[in-house]
Amino acid sequence: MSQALGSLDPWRLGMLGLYVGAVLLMMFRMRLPAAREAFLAMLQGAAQLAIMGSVLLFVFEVDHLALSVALLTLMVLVAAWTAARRIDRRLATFRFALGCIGLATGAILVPMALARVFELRPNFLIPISGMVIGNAMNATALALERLRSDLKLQRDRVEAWLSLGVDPDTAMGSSARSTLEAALIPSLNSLKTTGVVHIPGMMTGMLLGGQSPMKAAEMQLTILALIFIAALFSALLVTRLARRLFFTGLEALDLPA
Amino acid sequence: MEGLRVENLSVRKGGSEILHGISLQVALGERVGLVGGSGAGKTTLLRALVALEPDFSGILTWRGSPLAELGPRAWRRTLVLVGQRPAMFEGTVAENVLVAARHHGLEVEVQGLLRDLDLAGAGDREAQALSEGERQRVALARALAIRPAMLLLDEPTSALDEDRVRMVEELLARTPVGWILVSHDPAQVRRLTDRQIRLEGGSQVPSSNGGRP
Repeated sequence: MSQALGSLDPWRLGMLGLYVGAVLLMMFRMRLPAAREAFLAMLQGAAQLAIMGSVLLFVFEVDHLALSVALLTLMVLVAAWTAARRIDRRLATFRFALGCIGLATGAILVPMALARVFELRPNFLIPISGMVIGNAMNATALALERLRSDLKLQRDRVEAWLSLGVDPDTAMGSSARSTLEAALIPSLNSLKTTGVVHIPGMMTGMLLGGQSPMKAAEMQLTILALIFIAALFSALLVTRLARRLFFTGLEALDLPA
Repeated sequence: MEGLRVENLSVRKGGSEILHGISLQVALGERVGLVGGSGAGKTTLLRALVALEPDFSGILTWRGSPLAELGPRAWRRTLVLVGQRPAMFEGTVAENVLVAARHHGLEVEVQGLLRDLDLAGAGDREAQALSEGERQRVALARALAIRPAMLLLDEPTSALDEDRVRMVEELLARTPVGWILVSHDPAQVRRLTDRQIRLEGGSQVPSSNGGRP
C-alpha cells in the first residue's frame, strides 16, 4: 500500500490543485451561479476517487473473485439507486432500475467472462464492469425519464387503446419505440465519433500508461461494443418491463408525479 | 337480467377521495343517464367503471363476474368508454376504426359504420388531422367495431351540429347495447335514457324511486 501511495506524483497533484483552485476562485469572483456547486462537486469527486483508489488497491492486492463480485454488486446497487432517483423515490422504481441494470450487466459480463474475452483478475474485471454498469445506468435513467414523459404527453392515446381492451404493451407501442431510439443515441454517437472527435477515456489511460496504440485501440473497441450493448439491453428491458412500473395490476396508466 | 353492478366504489386522486362509495346497478341493455353539475365526478365515475382510475376501491361485476376475474382487457371489451375528446391513433380513419377490432380478431364492415356516422368519404383521411366533431364520431365507430355489451358515453355529441347529433342518436337507438350517458344536454339525456343517476360533489344523490322516471 505504501509503495502504491508512493507512486503518486506530489508535483502533478499540487500543480493541478493550484490551477483548479485558481479557476474556482475566478468562478466565485465572477459570481457564477454554479461556483458553489462546482467547488462541492470537485471536493466530492476527489473524495470519491481517493476512496475508490484505496478500495481498488485493496481489492487488487487481495485478488479474490468473491471480493470483486461483492464490489460489482455494490456498484450495481448504487447505479440502480442513482437511476431510480431521477424518476422518484419509490422502492418500486429502485427495484425496477436494479432489475434492468443487473440483468443487462449480467447478460454482458457473464458470457464475456466465461469466454475469457477479458481476464477474471480484478484489474480487468472491475474497470470494464464499471464502464458497462455506468452505461447501463445512464441508458436506464434516460429510458425511464423519456418513457415517463412520453406516456404523460400521450396519456389520452394510451388510454384510448386501453379503453378498447388492448394490452398495455400495445397501448404504449410508439412511446416504447421512441424511448429505445432516444436511449441509444449517446452510445451510438460515441461509437460514431470515437477516434475522430475524441480519444476515449480508457484508450487515453492506456496510452498514458505506456501501452501500444493498437493494443489500446483493441481494448477500447471491446469496451465501446460492450457499452453499446449495455445501453441497448437496459433500454430494451425498460421498455419491455415498463408495464410493471407505469401500470397498475388492472392495467391502468399510473405515472409517478 | 343483471348487467353491471357497482358496490361502494370510491376513487382517490392526489391523496384525497373524490368519489365516495357509489353503488348502482344497470341491467343488460338498460340505458342510464349520469347527471350532475360540473366537477360532480361523472367523468371520473365512467373512468373508474373501466378501471382506468389507478386508485379506486369497491366491487365491480359484469353479469355476476368480478372485474378481477374477467381481467381488465375482457372487461374493457365488454364495457367500452368513449371519451369526450378522443385521441386518434396513427393512420387513416378506416385504420382507426379497424385496428382494435382486428387486434381482437373481429371482422368489421367498416364502410357501413362510417356511412352511419356520415364519415363515408373520410375513410382514407389521416385521423389525427380530423376536427373534434369528426373525432367523436370516429371514436364511436371504433367502440362499436369491437361489439361491446355496454357503452360508457362521456359527452359523445358535444362537438356535433344538430343534424349529426340526430344521426348519432338514431344510430345509438338502433344499436342493441345498453349505455351510461353523460351529457350536458338534459333533453338528450331524457331522449336517450330510461332513468338517471345524479352525482353531487362525488357522491350519489339518493333517489326515492331508484332513479326510474
